[in-house]
Amino acid sequence: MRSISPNTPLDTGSTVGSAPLKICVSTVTPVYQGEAYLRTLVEELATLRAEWADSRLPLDLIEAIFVDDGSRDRSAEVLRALEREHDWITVVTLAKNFGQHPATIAGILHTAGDWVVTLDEDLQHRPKYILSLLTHAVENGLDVVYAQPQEAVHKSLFRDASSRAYKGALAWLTRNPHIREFNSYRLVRGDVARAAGSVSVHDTYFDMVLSGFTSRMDALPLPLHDERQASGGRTGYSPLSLLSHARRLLISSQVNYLRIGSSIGLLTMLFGLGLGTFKLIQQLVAPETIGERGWTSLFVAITFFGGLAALLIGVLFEYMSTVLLQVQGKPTFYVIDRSKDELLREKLAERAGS
Amino acid sequence: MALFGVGLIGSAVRLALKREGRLEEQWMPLSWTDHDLQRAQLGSVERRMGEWAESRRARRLSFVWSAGQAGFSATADDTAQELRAFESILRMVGRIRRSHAEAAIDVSLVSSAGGLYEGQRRISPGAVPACCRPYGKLKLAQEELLRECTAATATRVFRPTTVYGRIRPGQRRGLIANLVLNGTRHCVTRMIGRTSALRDFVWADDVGSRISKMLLDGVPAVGHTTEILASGRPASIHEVQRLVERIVGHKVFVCFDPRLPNDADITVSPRSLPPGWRATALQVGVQQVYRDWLAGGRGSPSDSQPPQPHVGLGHAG
Repeated sequence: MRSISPNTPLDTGSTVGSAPLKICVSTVTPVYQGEAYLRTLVEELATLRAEWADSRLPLDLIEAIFVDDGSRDRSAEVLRALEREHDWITVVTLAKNFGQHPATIAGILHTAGDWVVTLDEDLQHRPKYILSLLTHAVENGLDVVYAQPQEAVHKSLFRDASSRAYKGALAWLTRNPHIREFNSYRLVRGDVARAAGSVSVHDTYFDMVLSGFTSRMDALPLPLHDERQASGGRTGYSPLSLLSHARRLLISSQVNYLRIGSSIGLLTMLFGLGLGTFKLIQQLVAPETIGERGWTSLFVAITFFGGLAALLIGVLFEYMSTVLLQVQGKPTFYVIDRSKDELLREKLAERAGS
Repeated sequence: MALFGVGLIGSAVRLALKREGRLEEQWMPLSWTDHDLQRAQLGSVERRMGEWAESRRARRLSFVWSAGQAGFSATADDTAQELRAFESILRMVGRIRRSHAEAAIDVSLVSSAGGLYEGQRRISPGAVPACCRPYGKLKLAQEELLRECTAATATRVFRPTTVYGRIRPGQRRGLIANLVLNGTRHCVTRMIGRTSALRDFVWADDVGSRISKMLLDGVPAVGHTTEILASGRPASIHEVQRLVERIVGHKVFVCFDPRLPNDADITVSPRSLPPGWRATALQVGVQQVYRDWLAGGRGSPSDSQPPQPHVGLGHAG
């Protein structure tokens, strides 16, 4: 047995010198009824992974997390086979179908990458655009980049139009312009993604929680197509699930729109007060100008007390909103480190120059 | 069996063995600082183990090193003392081997994945340790000494990641225990490093159960194994803080100490986990910590153990 004296330096020579700094990227894909597309998706991810390994960019696709969200087709078997074939693939199996956002959150909470890319399993979101999203993010100091469809995604005029209208209305009501950009093909800074995931609760719309951590969000136009519909299949979402999606977006939103009620209540109350004051003066100064007796006082009473009730309900909602924001996990503050972006920016600039 | 160190992991090993219902134990003091006294105390341990070997009551003599005063922020001097202590144990094993050539002897070392792989993410089965601090170098040195130990029939190295366990008086507490304890008391927890740092948290009882199972099963019978004991699921400090808040039911107060950097990520690929290993989910483990603390933090009567440092000698049969 080799003897080591107390003065022997504890450097056994087995340590490794510091490896070149790499920016690690994780992908997260919630899977539901996606058996027909998974192999192709993994092939595309593998191709991207190999390209990055061969390139001089300091990028490494370290893992692809697939979340089996209670699939009823053979997605689970396909995923298990893919996991056996590729050591960079991890499969997370949920106990039942929880929905796209909970599944995405589950996957994000299994990542270790500096950046996390979420993409759907049905090839609507091609991995080859991940570098474009990353480039846009680091060049503009962003924390979240959404892929924005350059043309209608689902070839369903009604679905695309109603989605745009709904998000537009919410963006106006909540004064959050990024709502229009929300898309399930997103690049998120890893720390932010995991922080948002860790505060999300069961009815959370993930992107609304992200909005609470950062305002550095943008969208990048990309060609996205619903391959499932194009190949004659049905969309992964039923009308009911789309409505549920919309409901979740609404209740996860900032509660600014609740103040509309209290504002209307205040105005109504002030109107009632003003009208009552005017009528009182009229009664004292020029009673002969008053026509019907009794109607005015009734009207004043209704507007005043109705407005007061609306105002008090609005105040109650303000208190509730404080609790709601806490439940939704809106942080008091969040510290972020963007220093690694400089490395990728330099290399991208070099690549562009050469 | 001689169990050196009954801290977080050592006590988990001991409890797992006791749950099997086949453990008789006695405690012997072991000094860290007085080398002459330590030599004499090890002599007592050696004699006792020798008696068991001669009486043939023991099918195998097992030595488990889960001791350690040096933590993550230990200096080179702290770790040198610990390395010397470990060397003394291995020398003792060598003497027992020479006097009992026919005895089956195995030695297990509780190492540290965190110390060895600090800064590495998705640690794979073939990952090469890259120690950043004296603590990691200590563990690597201990592992090398163990591999070179020809006196043992079988050797095992366990590399747990960030271990968390029940709150016990007098025991060193990690992040989760501190958050739960301070959370229930509405006190401030000082956090070292950044909240986005990733760790792989593993429940001490899981580690204890795994080690005890391998001891009792005598696996491996011959040769060497190294296992990483982790959950395979990274969790940020931020996530842990929020989880503790949900469990204790109110805000947990924290402040940040930037002086001591401890913000490297350490995560493990699920593929690196040993066969048959099942890690308790973080939410469940933290709930256990909280419920145990609310119950008085005393655990069951059989949890009682003498204060540190001691050697536990046990016979499982």
